[in-house]
Amino acid sequence: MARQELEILEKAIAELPEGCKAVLLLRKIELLSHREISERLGIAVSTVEKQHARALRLLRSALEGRIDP
Amino acid sequence: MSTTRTDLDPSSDEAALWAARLDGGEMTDSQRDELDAWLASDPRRRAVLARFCQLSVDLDQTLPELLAEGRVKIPRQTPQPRLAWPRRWALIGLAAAAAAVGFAVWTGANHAKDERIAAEVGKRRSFTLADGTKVELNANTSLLVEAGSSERRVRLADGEAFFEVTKDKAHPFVVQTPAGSVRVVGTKFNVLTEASSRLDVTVVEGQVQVRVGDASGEPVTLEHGDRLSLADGGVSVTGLSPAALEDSLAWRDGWIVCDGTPLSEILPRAAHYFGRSITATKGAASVRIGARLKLDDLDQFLKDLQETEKTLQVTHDPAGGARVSLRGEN
Repeated sequence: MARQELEILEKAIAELPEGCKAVLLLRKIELLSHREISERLGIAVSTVEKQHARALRLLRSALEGRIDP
Repeated sequence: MSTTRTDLDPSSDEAALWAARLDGGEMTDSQRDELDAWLASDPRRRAVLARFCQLSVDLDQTLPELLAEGRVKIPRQTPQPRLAWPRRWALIGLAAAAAAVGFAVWTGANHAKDERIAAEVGKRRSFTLADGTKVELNANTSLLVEAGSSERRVRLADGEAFFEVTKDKAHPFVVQTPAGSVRVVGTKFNVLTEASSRLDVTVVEGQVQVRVGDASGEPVTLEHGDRLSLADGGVSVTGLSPAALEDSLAWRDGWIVCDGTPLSEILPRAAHYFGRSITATKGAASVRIGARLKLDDLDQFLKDLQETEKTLQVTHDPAGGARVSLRGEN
């Protein structure tokens, strides 16, 4: 990723809702599966999936918002 | 942000959900059928899903980088109570190495907590875990020591580490990476990983088992001098000569040893080490280098490179990165 994209990503991650951020980081940094995240946070797997998906949507919107203002 | 085309596209929410499931879920057969049906019902959906999957893969690489640079912080979580590792497998930290000294304290099976150890950009660090296992981390690498399992389990997302694992047959030591896992009882070995696309495992002593991909894969057993490489989806195992084995571990002393190695293989390692963008032009990428290059300092590294191969020239960009080209090449 280009430096400018990284900056946008950094900001977008900081602005993610807490639940979304926790799920995304547990998946991408700690490499936990959805099932493992659900056990860790004590929430349903379907909730983990939804929060993970929401994080992807928000980050993609942020990155594309730059290209398509 | 709410007016981007992503939000206007109704299939986008569903595509994000499938991308999330493909990345982190253990999909059942019926879910796979459901996904196939979803894709088949509108030919445009595959492209939307592909973009989310690409973002997901990009995040595999960029998130650990942002974390290593301190640009992303891990929020505090309340961990669920889990089975503790044996008490002696607590992280007590510290051993001196060529570079900086890492230090982390975690004790007590009653407060079992995952612990992260890391080496920042441009530094190498070494740690001793409380079971006596020694870990050396290459620069820009972070390792998660998991609590709460009957196994000794660590996670390596992106980077390189050398392990000297204390023998304990009752508690196997497992290194989990995005591309697969390495399981040992007691041995010395090296692991290099770059997201889910690349994995190198080199064994110095003893025996290790590597599973490429998820836990369902057939394990491959490696012994002294063996190297398993996963690149571009293919797995190969080669036996290294004692000299080649030593060269591949030279990073522990801060060296990259090149033996007719193309620049296109050397620069990504240096770029990861220094946390900078270092690229080569098409002409320079295929230049083969035969030299030992010191990784203490980026400027010195680039100077040594030009010294070794006089046809190369380096230009710096304002962002701190560098581009290597052939002299006279546009």
